[in-house]
Amino acid sequence: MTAADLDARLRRIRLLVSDVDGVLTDGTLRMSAEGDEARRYCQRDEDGLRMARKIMGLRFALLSAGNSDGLLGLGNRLEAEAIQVGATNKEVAFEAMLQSLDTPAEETAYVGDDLVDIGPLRLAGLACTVCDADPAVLPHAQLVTSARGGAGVIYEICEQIIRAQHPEQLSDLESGKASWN
Amino acid sequence: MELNPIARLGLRHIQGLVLRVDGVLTDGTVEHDYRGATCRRYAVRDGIGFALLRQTGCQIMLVAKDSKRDIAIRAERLRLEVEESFYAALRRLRLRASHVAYIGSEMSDVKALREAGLAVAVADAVPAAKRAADAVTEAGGGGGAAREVCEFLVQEHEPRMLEQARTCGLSL
Repeated sequence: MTAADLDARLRRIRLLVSDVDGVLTDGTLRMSAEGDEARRYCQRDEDGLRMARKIMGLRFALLSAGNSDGLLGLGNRLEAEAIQVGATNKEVAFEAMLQSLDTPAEETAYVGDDLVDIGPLRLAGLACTVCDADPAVLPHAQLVTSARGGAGVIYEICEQIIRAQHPEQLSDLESGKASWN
Repeated sequence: MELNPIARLGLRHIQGLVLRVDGVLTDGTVEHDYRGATCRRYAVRDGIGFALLRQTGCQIMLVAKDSKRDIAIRAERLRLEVEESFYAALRRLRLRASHVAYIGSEMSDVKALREAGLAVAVADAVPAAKRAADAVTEAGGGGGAAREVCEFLVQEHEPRMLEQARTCGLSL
């Protein structure tokens, strides 16, 4: 995997599909006495998505094997275009999602952290994972974030995609010449 | 997870995994808010371990004393059943203690750990539970300890299945 190869992959991306547990969260789940699930996500990810939408119209979708109302709430909060929960076979679900979003796999980045994510990671144009992923996932990824799950992973990927596609706009933001708010 | 050589001899007889919920599947804490509502914390990655282990034909059962509704719901989402004690779990599984692996964390687990065919304590277990165990996980309760034991058992019984999941992925 060369820097040029990673850059070529980053430049093609139009859509980012993300797993939830272990990527948007640290992989823990709180459950109330009534059985309601709560997940803790990082607001920096929300900021990164807003930035990427504003600068390059990056599309975003969620793909989770989990199944709870909380996942839908999080997806809506992050303004995901598609939210697929209860995906017991993520490879099949990923292909179906790309078809319904009318986007080729080469233009899609996928980020996931566990064995169930290996299927979509092998299909995606850019395979991303987190530094605290299951060790077996790491060799399947071209991009490993320095952030741990739940600590700004999506932000980091968004920044990398923007840096590859619109470096001048990113440097304007970095220097304070521009802001998207 | 390091296993002592004597415990290794009994590994091939293991046909079931029994583990406690509080302190093993959870981090052992229960959050209480001002209205008295409670909350337990789990590691999502443990669920993938159970899915892997189930594929080898190994039976799995949770243990929780006076199981609360939230534990029953978590168990249902993991497609597992809950029993009151280690012994009730053995009866339900129709297995003898020597054919079962047990994961514990508390003083109240020591007896079960002494009897189980493979006894595992989590990294943050009480010292007596660790002394009674054949192995101690690197992860703590609610931090992937169950996943670690599941992968260990799959590696021992069906190494090719684990290799396949690591190379080609896994569906639940």
